[in-house]
Amino acid sequence: MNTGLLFRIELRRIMRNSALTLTVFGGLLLYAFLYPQPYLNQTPLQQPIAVINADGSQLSRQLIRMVDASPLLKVTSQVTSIEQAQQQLVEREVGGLLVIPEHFYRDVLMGRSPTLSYAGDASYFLVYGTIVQGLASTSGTLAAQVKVAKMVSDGIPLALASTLHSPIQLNANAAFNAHQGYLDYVIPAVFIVILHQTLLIAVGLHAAPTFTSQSTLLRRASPWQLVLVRSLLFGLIYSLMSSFYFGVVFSFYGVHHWANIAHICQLLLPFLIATAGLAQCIAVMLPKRGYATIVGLMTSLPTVFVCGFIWPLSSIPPAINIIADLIPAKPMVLAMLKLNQMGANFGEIQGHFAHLWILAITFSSLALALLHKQKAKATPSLNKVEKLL
Amino acid sequence: MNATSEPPLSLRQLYLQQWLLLRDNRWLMAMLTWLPLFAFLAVWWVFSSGLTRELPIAVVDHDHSQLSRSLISHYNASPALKVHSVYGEPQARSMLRTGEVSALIIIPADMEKHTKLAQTPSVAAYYNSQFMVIGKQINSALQQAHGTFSAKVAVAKALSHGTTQTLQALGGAVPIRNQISALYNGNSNYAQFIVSAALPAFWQILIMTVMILALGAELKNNSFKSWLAQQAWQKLTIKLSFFGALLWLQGILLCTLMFHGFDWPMRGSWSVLLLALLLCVVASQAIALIFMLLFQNIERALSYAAALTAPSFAFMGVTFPISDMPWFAQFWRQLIPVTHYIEVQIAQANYGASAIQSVPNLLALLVFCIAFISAAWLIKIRFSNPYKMRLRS
Repeated sequence: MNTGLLFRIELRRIMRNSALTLTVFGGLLLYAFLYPQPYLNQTPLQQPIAVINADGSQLSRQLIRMVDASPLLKVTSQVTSIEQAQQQLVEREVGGLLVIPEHFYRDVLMGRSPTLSYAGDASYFLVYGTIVQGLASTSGTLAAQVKVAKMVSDGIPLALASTLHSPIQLNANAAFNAHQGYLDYVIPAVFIVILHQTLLIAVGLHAAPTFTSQSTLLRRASPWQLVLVRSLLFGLIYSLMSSFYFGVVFSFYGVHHWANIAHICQLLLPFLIATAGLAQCIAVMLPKRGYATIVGLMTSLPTVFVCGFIWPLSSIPPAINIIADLIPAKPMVLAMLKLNQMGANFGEIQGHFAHLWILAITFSSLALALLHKQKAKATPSLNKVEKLL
Repeated sequence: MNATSEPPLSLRQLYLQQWLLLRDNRWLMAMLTWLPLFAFLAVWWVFSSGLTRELPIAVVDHDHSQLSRSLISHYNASPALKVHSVYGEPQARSMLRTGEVSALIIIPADMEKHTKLAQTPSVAAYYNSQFMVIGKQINSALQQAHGTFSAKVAVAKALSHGTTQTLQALGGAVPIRNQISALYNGNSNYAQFIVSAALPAFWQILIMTVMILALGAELKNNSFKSWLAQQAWQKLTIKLSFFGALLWLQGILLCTLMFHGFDWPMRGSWSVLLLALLLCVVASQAIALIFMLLFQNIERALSYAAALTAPSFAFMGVTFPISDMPWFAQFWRQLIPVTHYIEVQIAQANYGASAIQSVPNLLALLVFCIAFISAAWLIKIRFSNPYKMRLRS
């Protein structure tokens, strides 16, 4: 069969496959809207905490006011015992607690460095981190004020004292996702995984062997034509959907753009070929076409976890890392994060780029081999049918 | 007419049918046996180290003094950090951009001199917060290492200036000390935090898929008409209870794995947890059943189940607090059974909460179950008497 004709036939099959178009167009539109929903506020603020004030001095009241003024925290209750605070924690009324010890003010005055104890509910890491960060910085501010006040009372001018309170300062800045937003952390990576998974499903829905038109096609067209046409078609559709995601949707949510379009396209090419290739390999093994959705659905969460943006690759067991290297989403996520979020230049992600090309070539050849095998298996029986007819 | 002429099947026969269906469908069998176990262990394995250790940081030392070397060794002494000394800033910046190191620290020239002259030099640190978990960890490790180092320098200074008592010197350097505790996850184990939520999310996907496949096996010509024409109630109940029991067992296995296998703390009541698991199974089954009866098409039902359950991990409120979610996200999460289950699990396992505290979430799951019975009832009306339907339409 001539390749141009096959192209048209395949395009028509894709457009007529309602499950496929629903997944690709409907699914991607829905996820672009749905997935970022929980994170729209970017950072948790005003986390409620309980305070146990065993001191009752002016300084302790000042500390509580400072804590309440911190954008991260909100003092919602003052209790008298740890048990009460814990009760509120369990009921999720507060996420943490601060204990101001007895004689806090006196000990500070006498230079005995009293200990402020604080605790957060580590069942929720982000809440815990926010509370600890808020309390640590407030306590640090108070400590600095105490030091400055002491120096001033020792005769050092205020302007000098306020720079002197720490011998060496640490000026820590968040690089890249500078305001530490959760959306900017999750979206750039997860959207690639979403593109990856829906592409796996779409190709599976299109090319599963039990589909009747598949056997007809397999008889008429050669395997290399099928692999070529399918990679081309799905590549085209997905470059459209990828531009929608990386262009429109990223801009809509205010996700950073460092990379130029040409570089992103350069990276997309092997990624889409590799994913389409992998999907065609999987499709050959599916018993029914609906099962493609199952494969895509079940592998989505594990894929997100092995891409290295949630948990550092160095802490993931080597065996898992090796298996994960076979998934095109992983090098793509890493390359895109570095290129588009962290401002790396294209030379600095060459490794991932080469990785994607290797996967693209491997999976395409494997898909070709599998289709050859499938054709060989299908042909005798088809010949028989033809003879009978 | 031939549908009604068949003799009714006994309950035993109906159960036997389910067993045969399971036995002959390799995918169903896999999803009810080795696949979840394999997936549970794999997800746990990813996070099995629990804590991130020795995260690489690049230090550019422009000072080359005893003080700067001492500061670097303080950073290196932190279990969370591992220092790579880098000569030039451009190289260090490139390492940060490519993720080779997770932070970049620049020690200014003349730091020691300025410290001695009490001019408060400032060390610049840039940590990668694109990878947020790592970024936050590095930031706090740096703050801590720097805090101890600053205090040591200040104490040494005070002692050299004539303060004789170490305690007093310490009081001047560190007027307020901090003691931080992580409640309910004592050593801040990331695996316990994330895997205990991710596994139920995965399990819910499994429940939906199994039920859609099991119901899909009864489709004839894309319709349930012939299957439900007779004994609709019994057939539905038997199918749901047969697979529901197996899925519940799977949930129990999942919890056993988490709380005994991985040895994460379980402080609450197992019976409340088991009830929550059961309700979560039935609730998810309800949704699968509604999708299947509505569309009578496996692919379509799977697509809708995917739309609902695939992002459920994001909506659970474990990684990002519910209170900071906009109203729509708060509303949407109510529609996902596992978000109610996870609340029960955290309350029971972490807090050791009383059964009463878990009642609201159990009730929410129960509402799903009631929805399932009502849906099944509506469907029964639709299918049980095809002739009446035809007459009406």
